[in-house]
Amino acid sequence: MGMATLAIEKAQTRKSRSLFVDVLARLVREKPMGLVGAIIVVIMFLTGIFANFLAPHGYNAFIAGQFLKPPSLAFPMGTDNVGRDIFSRVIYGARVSMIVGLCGSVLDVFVATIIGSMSGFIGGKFDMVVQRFVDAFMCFPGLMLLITLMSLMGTGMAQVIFVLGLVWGVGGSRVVRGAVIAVKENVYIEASRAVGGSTRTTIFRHVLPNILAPIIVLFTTAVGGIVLAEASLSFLGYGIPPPTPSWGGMLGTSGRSYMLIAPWMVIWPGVALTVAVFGINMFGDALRDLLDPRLRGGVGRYGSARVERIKSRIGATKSAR
Amino acid sequence: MHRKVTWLLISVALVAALVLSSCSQPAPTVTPGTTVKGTTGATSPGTTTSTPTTSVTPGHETIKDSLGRTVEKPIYGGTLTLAAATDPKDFDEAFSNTWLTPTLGMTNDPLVTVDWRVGPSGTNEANIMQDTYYPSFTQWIKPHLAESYEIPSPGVWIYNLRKGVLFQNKAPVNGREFTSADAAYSINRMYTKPGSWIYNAHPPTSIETPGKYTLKLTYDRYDSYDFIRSVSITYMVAKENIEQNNGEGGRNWKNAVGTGPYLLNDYVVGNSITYKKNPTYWETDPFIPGNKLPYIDTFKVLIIPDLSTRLAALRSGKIDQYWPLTYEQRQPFLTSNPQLKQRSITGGSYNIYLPNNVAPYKDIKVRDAISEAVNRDLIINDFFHGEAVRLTFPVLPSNPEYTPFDKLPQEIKDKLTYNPTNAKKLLADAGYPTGISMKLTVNTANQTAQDMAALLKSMWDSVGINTTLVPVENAVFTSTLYAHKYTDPIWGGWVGQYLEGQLDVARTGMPNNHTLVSDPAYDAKATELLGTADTATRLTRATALNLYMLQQDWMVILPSPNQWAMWQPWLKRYSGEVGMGYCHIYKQYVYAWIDPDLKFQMTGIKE
Repeated sequence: MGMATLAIEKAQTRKSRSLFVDVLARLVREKPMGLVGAIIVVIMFLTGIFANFLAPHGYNAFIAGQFLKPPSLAFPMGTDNVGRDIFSRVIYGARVSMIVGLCGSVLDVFVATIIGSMSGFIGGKFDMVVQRFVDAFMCFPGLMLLITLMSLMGTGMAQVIFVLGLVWGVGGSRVVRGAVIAVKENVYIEASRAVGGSTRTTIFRHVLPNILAPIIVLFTTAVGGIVLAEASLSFLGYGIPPPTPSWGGMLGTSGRSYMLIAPWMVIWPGVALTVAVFGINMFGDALRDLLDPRLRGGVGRYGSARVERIKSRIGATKSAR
Repeated sequence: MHRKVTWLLISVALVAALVLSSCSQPAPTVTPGTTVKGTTGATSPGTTTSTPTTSVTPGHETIKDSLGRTVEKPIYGGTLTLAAATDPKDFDEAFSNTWLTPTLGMTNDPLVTVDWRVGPSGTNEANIMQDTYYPSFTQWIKPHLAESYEIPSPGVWIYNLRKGVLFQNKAPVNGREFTSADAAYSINRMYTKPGSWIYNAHPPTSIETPGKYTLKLTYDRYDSYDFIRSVSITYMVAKENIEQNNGEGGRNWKNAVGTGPYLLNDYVVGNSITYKKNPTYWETDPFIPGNKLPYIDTFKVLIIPDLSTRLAALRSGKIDQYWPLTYEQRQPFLTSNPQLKQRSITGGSYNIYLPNNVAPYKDIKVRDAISEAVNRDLIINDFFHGEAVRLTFPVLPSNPEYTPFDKLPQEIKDKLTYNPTNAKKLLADAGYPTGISMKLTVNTANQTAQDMAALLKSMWDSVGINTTLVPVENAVFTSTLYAHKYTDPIWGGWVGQYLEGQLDVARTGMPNNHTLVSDPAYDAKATELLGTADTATRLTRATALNLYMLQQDWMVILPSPNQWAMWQPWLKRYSGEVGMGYCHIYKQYVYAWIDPDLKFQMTGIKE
């Protein structure tokens, strides 16, 4: 059986695989950094979900005589100024920070996509009016806007997610709108219209898949920003109420006050935040590359078939020599 | 790909470095250099504490002061630089609160003040560390612009003013003499001006000037609070200066003029306030006769809103003194600036106001349960690292009417002792066998309060008092506190400073009655106490009333953390005093001096 036949068979095998399995396989094979990022994200998720079982102490349980202790065997990340195990608080903080960060980013992307895709695709007067609202919204200083909305809605996790997602989403709609405008002029969009495709069909089947890359980037860059914004809100009394830990809150409140005498109070939540944001960004980058339809003909879902064909040609040439 | 891996490795190395540094030992708790603990719980007036020793700079003269002590001869000149977080709100206390018009402490004088001489820089007989004021205990009060005062009958106060005191040589006053007419005008306007914070607060029935240097205030009854309002808080001003600009002449900093030790020379909003020595100031050094005051030529206050920047200014020698420093703020200075002198100060205690007018808090059993669920020993030893005093309410330990914890009646000691079992029993007895739900409002501007609230929540949750913390921003917190409409506990400010102020936390109708108490028996006792002129009787009544307040458990009293004043070694004749009387936060520097040679030796800055 020739190498070309083998390549075709491999391509057909991949065609029969689901998109998820295919992406996963390609993630493992082609994107090692993305794989690292994915592992980090999964670990964070599982940590947040199973925090109750993983944390040796409650997130607000103080241990008498163990206030402000440096890392040790008993307390791997040390204790804070209220005698609480920082390791436990980092674990519980994963739940809060991931929920706020990821849910806020999801809402951010949702809002940005809705506003940006409609505004960009429909265009004309609709686009003009919508973008003027976006302009006005973006004129407000971000923190002031957040505080105002939070003071109207009250404190709590749901309110924080909603406000952060909304504010980030409106700003992110510009990115989506730009991508949609770029894609809108392509021939296949016109072809879709020509064959009678509705606006909704065109947007969902042809526009969104082609702007998935900037959307994914928007998502991944928003996570870290939203987590840090939550810390600012918590500092002002509008975020997650204490003593519920969030990494940003641990950094911004008593961690900052004790930084010089107990640096472990800021280092560990900072490391956790850094690793989480890094992982999400790496995973997001990889996901963007794997899902980009423009790469379908190249090193994409079927790209490895092309690689196989090239390899077979190289092999044949060598044999000929 | 290679670039990503490289960046990953660099990131990992950075993180590893941070992690390794976090495993270092905490900052030392032992203080090198000179550290003085202020009076805490067991002392009373007359008990001495150690004073920071001041070494004599080589080449400087020493002299014997009037107490027979050998002291370094003060040197005139130099600049004292401090930091403040905010600009003054006003320059005329009749339009604001005296707290918010700090410049008056330098440019003007009150009729009486706390006696610096008996403090730690003098004979060290009394704890005059705080800007508090105890009018009953006359050995701490020094007539200032008044040479003496007498109370010929209850409600009548006669002040004999110092002769020859001149206003600063500045228009429109032009250095004329201060007289009783000025005193009468100053006091009258504070009681009658709607913006004044003692507006209509038990005004005198008459203000008379029987002589050029005699002032007579007549009230309908004796009330020691009047002493604070009229002659301690009230600064003496000149009518012709104030009456400019339709009575708002004093609000312009350029018009600032008084009899005080300094002239307000310059003010740049958001930047600095500069004072220059008043060459005609009347006061002389109480221990070195003949030495005119002040010693320091220039007094500068830098406006630095950011706390980290203020601490950096102290660290770098840009400012000469800073207060207050909490434990975690002070610790790094022990290693970075061991040369800094420091003194610990016991302030008022943290407290939580319970709304005593609503259920379940109106039941004393519930209040006792909330109090007994608090482990104060753990808070002192662990949360405050041993740097706290168990009880500083209703008054500070340095007050004569203070009763130390170990001398309290057993019933009150039990209320302040950790007993979670009894706390649960009390709740059950009160009709809450499954516990209660409670919300605690906390000010987000106070991180220590938030952290302590989290600790308390843990303690309360364990006995069935299911607590939810409600953090609110400062402005919202203040308006909530003073609206008096809360139905759940709210974090209070510091309490336990001077008796008159603390009585108000439970007096019916008073703005500071944050406990929402209405107890006619207590009101009667408080009014009786304030009207007691005789010192011995006052002491007996005050002690009894303090015990009554503790017994009622109207608020949750928490330990009081020490705070620190730290200052540069070239600031001499200064022992960490942070005020001299209510709201007089700068007067102590009038007696201090700057050692230019030591400052040059340590910083290279020539004065």
